[in-house]
Amino acid sequence: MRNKLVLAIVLVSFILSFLIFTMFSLRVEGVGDNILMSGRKLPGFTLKDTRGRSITLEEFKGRVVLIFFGYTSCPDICPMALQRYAELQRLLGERARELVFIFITTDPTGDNPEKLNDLTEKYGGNIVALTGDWQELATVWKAYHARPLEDAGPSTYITHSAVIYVGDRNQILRSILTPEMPAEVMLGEIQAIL
Amino acid sequence: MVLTLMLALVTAASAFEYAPGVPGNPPPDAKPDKTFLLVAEERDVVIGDGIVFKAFVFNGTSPGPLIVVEQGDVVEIVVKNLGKYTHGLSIHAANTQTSKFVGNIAPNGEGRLIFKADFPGVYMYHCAPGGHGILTHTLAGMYGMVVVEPKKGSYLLEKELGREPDIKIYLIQHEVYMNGRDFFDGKPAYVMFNGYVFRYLEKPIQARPGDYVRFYFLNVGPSLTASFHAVGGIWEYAYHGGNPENVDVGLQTVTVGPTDSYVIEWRVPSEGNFLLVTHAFGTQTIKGAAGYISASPDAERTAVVLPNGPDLPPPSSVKRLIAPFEPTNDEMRVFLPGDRVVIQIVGNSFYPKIARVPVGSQVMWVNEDVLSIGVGEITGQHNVAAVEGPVSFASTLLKNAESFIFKIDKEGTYQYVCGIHPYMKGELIAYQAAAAPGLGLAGVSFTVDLTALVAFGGGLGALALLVFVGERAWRKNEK
Repeated sequence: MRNKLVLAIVLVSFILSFLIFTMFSLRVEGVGDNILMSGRKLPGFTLKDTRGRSITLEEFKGRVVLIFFGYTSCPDICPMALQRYAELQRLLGERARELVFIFITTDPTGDNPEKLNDLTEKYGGNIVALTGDWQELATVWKAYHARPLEDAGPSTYITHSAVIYVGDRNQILRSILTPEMPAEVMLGEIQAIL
Repeated sequence: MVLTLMLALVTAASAFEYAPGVPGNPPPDAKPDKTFLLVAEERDVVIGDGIVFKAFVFNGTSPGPLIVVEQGDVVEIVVKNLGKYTHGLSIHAANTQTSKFVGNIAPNGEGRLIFKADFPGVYMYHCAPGGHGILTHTLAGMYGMVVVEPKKGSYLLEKELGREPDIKIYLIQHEVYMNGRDFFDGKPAYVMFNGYVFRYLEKPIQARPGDYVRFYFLNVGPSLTASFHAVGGIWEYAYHGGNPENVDVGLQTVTVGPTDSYVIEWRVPSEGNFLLVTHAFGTQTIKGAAGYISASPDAERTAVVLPNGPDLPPPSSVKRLIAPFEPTNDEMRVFLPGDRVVIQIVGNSFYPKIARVPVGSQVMWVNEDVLSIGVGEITGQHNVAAVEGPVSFASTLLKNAESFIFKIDKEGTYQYVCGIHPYMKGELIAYQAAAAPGLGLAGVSFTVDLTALVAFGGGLGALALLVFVGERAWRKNEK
């Protein structure tokens, strides 16, 4: 009887160990839910435009969306991305209205509404510049893999995202562009989903 | 914020404060005696027979143009960025904060620096977009030589002979690397004098016996230490850094670390071929750092040898492409089913740059670059952005030692870049591995965790043993 009990305990513990190990191995299987990839829905957000109005991603449904994260005083990558926004609007002409060019600030302290407004004037009327409070923005930065800033202290280096996300009319991520790509190449990617 | 502050300083350069009385600072409202223009851009340069280096350059060559000024000159350097990426300049002949004026220049931007050349010698200049980019743009070939000539008669042999040298040889030693991993490990593919492998073996420098030769020798590295020697010669006078005050006499070699230099005075002792080498045979000489001075009584002298890399047309056939930041055919690794697929991000490159991986692989990118502060070219933070292929995906920016894992489920070729250093390119080719017989059904597959399998096997073994022992004990009791 005692032997049978020992046998049962050993059997159960080994089966359990197998299940636990297998469970751990399954945990790293597959692509994590938090990874943005084509075919997946763009993470939603609610932020504020330069007039302080609440803007959700949802309300741009039906238009192709481009999303970039940056700051107005950036010396290199952000102006390059915004330049592409401007070139695309020029290349698309009337059809540019079917797109929305979103610029989400990574510097809510330095980028006041006037500075963000200037972007629209400088790089084209279809640009929607968005800001918000630190916590709101940090959630969005994280969802879009734009590295959240650790704090808002004076010595913080402001960063920017490295890519432009392109979502289709149903806000499914379809393509990822980098700011240095020529606008003509970007146009090709966008026309495929227009 | 810091960056914004720095930019404000650049734009308001006139407000920049200099310490009074310190050499190197330009006098107030100084008018330059000499002006030089350096144009930064990206260009493929030929560094050997059929060998092309995908470089970043100043004025079209690697090394860039020679800059010569006189001691005491007020010098103006204008830097224009006509390239696709952020560049900049650091100029070691200036005893001032050059980065405030010509560091981090965006594409189509321009910077201007004024300094007083108070220290005679031989100096390096190099690209300086800031931080991490300084290191990697130097790896990409953006450097050159500045000579600040001392007052006439300062060098001893010139004084003794009462004349200028017959031959001036401006010589830059430098090395190129296939990728950031080799850059980290100090394993160059080629080591050169003045931009071409064995340049002066192919075209020896011509001299006559007795000629007074002055070398301006500069090692721009980026990483190796040179040991400059002439086979069959002894350097008569050698001036560390090129400053006439720092004189050594009668040396077989000068040891020259990265961005260190010497002015050397020497007379050609006889006719014959004198081999100029960096006397580090296995790591440098053999990789291209050697050349001849060919001396004969009737030779037509090469009066000046410039350090600029040669400006050559592309070869009809490229035998090898040295592209530190991009995939080349020489650099592919095949991962087999069961292999752990790790791609390093190192020295602003992906390593391996081309990886063939079985479909179903969990590919891990890990950032080995250490500098995690700053933005753009300044930082060693990177991301992985798959921009072409069956699936597009992007990681967050990774600091040092951080990683990103993505499971490759679809067969095909994925092109990816680092979004903030877009010249960093990698390729992933996902192939369908042949299934083990009897293990897979069409469209159905499973994976087994090895640890679980071992534990399970061990458990079964122990169980079998217990059953065996128990049965024997039971039978004994029966008897």
